[in-house]
Amino acid sequence: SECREWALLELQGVLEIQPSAQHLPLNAFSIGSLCRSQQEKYYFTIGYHELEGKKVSLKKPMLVLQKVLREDPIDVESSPVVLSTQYPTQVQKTSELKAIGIIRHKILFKTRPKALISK
Amino acid sequence: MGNASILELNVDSSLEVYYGETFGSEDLKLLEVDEPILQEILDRGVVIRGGLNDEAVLCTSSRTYAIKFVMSSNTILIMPPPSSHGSSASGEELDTKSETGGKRTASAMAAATGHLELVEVAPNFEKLKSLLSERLYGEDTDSMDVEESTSGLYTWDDLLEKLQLSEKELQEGLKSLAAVQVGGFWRLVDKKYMHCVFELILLNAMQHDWSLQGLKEKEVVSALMADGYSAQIVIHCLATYGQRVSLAFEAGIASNGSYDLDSHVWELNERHVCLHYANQLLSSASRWRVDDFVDAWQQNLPSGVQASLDMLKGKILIEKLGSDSWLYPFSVANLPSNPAERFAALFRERPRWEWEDLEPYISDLRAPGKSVDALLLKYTRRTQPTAETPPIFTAR
Repeated sequence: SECREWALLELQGVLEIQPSAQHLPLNAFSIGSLCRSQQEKYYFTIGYHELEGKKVSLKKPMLVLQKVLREDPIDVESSPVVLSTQYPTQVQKTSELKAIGIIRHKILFKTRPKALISK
Repeated sequence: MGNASILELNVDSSLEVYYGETFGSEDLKLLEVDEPILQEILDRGVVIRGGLNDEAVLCTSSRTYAIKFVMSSNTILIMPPPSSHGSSASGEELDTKSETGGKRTASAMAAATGHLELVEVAPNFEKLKSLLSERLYGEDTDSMDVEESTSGLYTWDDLLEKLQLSEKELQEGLKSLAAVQVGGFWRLVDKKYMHCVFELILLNAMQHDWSLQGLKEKEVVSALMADGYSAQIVIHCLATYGQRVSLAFEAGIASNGSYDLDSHVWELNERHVCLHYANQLLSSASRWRVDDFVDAWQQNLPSGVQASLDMLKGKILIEKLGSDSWLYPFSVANLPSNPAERFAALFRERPRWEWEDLEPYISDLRAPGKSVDALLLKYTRRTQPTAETPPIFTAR
């Protein structure tokens, strides 16, 4: 099948864009640096915070589903997942959920962030 | 698209995590699945059904699941694998120095606020029953050659689309309702009409001295067609109240040795035959002294068929009045299928039930993840006066 393995980066809290950078397109800058220090330890540096985490296997695998709007009739054979809705048949507009990836592991950051003070 | 995978990061290596190009405009959802479902989705795909007003359900080939959203307070970044142009697409290990001199990057395609979970649900056949009841197939239908309009008639595909059932469940539902496919549409046959056809089959069997264990389809069909009944309905009746037997092979070999493919043979189910006559008696009088009933019942049955009161479990209740036992109709088929409502109805009928009497009225209850014992625990109070007397169930 087509589905490759994806991953999740999970951290507590919310990512905020600094006011000075809010006018820039999102992908103009990086969220942070991810580094693996030892076999089991990962560090994620976001702004001046450093998070410590580890790679975890998910209890149950997850599928990444992508919503795609189509206007032609659904070909069930080609799409792994299909959302069928009760639209009248004249307008053959259907929402399609396609499985585009499988996730079995995530890198999870649960500890309190450590504030780094740069010199 | 990033050029590295966060899962393939080596010790003492690092990479930059970026927002992907389409971050914020992607509508991605995470769905937690079991390995077997995962395999099926990858092999054959599944369908998520749900009208605009219904809760969405996911159907695999055999089971139906409700879809629940579990919210998380964490920030969950969804990281796709590196694009095929990336250096690690072939699975090579990343070094601390990248070959091209460009930085190792991974990009987040979207952030999830939680994930979807699957909860197995018991299939609901009520809607199927009500759809098929819109136009019952009855006496009038059989005498018409072609039905005029197709409104209120449903094909297999129509039913799948309108109902939140998996294919296997739809099959199960149609079978449990004894539905029949006529002209591409699935139909429920009017009960009275079915009884009528069954009665005629039994009468003809008696008249012509046909064995109920070996009814020749050709003979039965032609006898009933002479009276105006369609072959399809006759065969459906045979299939509902009996089954095909493999005697066809012997019956089918004609004297010249050729094999007659049309010679199907049917065996009627003894219980169905007995129930048919029991129902006739119950329709004529709703209360019977048990002994009188048993006598009348046995008398009406074709020779060789043995009736027993056990066959009426879930259809009648017996109560003692003085020195007599009386029976009256009380059918599980007329009771609600929802467990709470079912128990309420049962306790309205009788405040106290012995297990032997109660069992046939609850054995068909289905609640996801709940056994019969769990249902009993939830809806009843069990008392047992002494170790020798049977336990009694009352409303909780």
